[in-house]
Amino acid sequence: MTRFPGPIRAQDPAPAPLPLLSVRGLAVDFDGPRSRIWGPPSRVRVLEDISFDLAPGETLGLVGESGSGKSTLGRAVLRRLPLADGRIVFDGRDITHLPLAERRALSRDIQMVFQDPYTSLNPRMTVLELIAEPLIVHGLAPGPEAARDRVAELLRLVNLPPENIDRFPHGFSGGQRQRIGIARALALRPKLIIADEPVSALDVSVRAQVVNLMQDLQQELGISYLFVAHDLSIVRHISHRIAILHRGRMVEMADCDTLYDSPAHPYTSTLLQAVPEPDPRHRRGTPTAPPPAPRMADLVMEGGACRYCRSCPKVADRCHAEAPALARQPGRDRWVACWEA
Amino acid sequence: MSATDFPRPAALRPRPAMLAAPAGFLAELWKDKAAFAGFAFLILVVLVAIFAPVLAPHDPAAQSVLSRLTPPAWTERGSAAHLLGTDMLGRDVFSRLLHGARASLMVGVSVVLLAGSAGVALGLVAGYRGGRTDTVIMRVVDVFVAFPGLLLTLLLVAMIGPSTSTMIVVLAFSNWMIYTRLVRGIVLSMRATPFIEAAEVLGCGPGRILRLHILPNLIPPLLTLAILEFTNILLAEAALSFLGLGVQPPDTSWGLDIANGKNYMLIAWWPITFPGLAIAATVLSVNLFASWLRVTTDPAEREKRHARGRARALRRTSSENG
Repeated sequence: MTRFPGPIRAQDPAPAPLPLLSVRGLAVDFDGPRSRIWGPPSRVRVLEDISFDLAPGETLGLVGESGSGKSTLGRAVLRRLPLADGRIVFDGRDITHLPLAERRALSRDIQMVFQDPYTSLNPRMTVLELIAEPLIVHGLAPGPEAARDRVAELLRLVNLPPENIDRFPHGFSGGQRQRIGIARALALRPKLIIADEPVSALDVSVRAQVVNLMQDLQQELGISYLFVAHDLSIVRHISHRIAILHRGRMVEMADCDTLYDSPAHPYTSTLLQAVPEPDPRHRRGTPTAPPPAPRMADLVMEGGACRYCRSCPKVADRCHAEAPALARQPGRDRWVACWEA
Repeated sequence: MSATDFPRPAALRPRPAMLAAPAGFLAELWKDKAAFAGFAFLILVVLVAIFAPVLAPHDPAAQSVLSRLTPPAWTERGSAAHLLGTDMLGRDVFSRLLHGARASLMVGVSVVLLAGSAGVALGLVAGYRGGRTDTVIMRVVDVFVAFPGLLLTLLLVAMIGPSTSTMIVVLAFSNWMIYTRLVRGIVLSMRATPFIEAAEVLGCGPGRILRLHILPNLIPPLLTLAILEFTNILLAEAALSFLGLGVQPPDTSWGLDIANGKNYMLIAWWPITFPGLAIAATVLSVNLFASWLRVTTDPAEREKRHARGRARALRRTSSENG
């Protein structure tokens, strides 16, 4: 698979195959603290200069500590958040500025799997009603009963026995509920599924089942995934490429093996060192202290400096003056935002 | 875990029983004897209200000064002609009780429905739309709440003129705010739950989300509030009727009879006791039935209740056998 991720620059060759999703220079602002009681809220940049491409049938893993903006990025692509800057092109169509009605129609092609399977299913709807809902909303079925066959087929697709079709979600385990959530997302045959930590709320023993199911579905249906997670081993298992987010910026993006075997950005190495090693004979050395969690005030005040410069072991003078942009390493399919890499 | 290991009992059918055949509804209600009794009593009250003119032995407004304050039939000085005695104007308490059911039920039910639907609708809009819509609606609610309810009622009745239908409108007008506040608060917190976001991501419009995702999850708190309000409305109706601003004689209501009878409470207990008992029994029945209804409309609670019932039945058969 040929991929041309990252910001398009003058010297880049023209992207060859059309990516399913291409994001350029995306930025999202949230309201921050007010300087005066009645004054306007300050703006906090929670995502800045995010650029990547996603090919059809590809999985891009989004990894970062909490507060790094990985879920926000997923919601920005779904167009559920106003963008401060940047452009999103999905399937050859610019979806940066879409009226509400078209945004709703977009949900036929972009769907989402949620983190918590216990609260993301309406407790008063049966499995049939839950999975038939997208079909009804998009005019593909007049009512739940008319969609019964389709729903049974979807249940088989996610390895749930179709006899369960008339039951309510409270009778299912977490893994089974997440399958219902996946069946719901699949009902419209989307091209892209945004999976927001789909297994982090699940029991460790069923995580692999759900992740494998998602992989099988990808092979069968050719779906692309934007897979948000903080569990590095699961991300490695499912993703073709991985992007590391730190405080709203993409610091590194590369294919799995490159990133895990030779991390280029100092933050990536710190993150990888934090993964517990199950084999006691296999020591990686003491991990460096984890970087302190970002406070909102820090994000407001930070000007041009690299957002990692306070915790970075390789920090140089230049890092305090100017933030490095995500740039492709010469001759490799790896993108890093660091002066020292 | 497999669903097919257990035989699927009738109570686990997908839809709440009210929408299935009435026979299924009654069968499920029968298992909860208290709720069934409450439901039966409510049916009785409704039938009495409808057929009061046929059932009542006397004209409820006919006065007879000679037989005033006759005690109930089973007491020493009682008369067989007046089963529950007569009031201070010699009117038959039993007949008034039957006729009073009409106004009381009418006012209670229609005020709760009217105020409830308006209040819930506004609360849904305020909570879901948020922003300026929310601010405007909630400030209107604040103004209504801050305004003394009785004064508002008196003003309106004085303007429109006293009658039963006026009272219904006026009471609804001064009681809708509590529904709006309750619903708006719950909707605000529910908006943040993932299943609402999931519905939005699937492409559901606001109408569908409010109708199918938010409203069904509001049933338990709304049922509870509506019952409490029903009691309040019965008492408010009594107060208004007592002031001459509600039910107009010769019509009567339970509240009006209590209000009239309370001056004679120390020398005659019956004119005030029987309508009081009628109110208490009605409210109790509504409570019993509503708590069953609340469980029935909640799929998880309903299955738990069914499982408890089965466990009890199993214990019973095993102890009989052993």
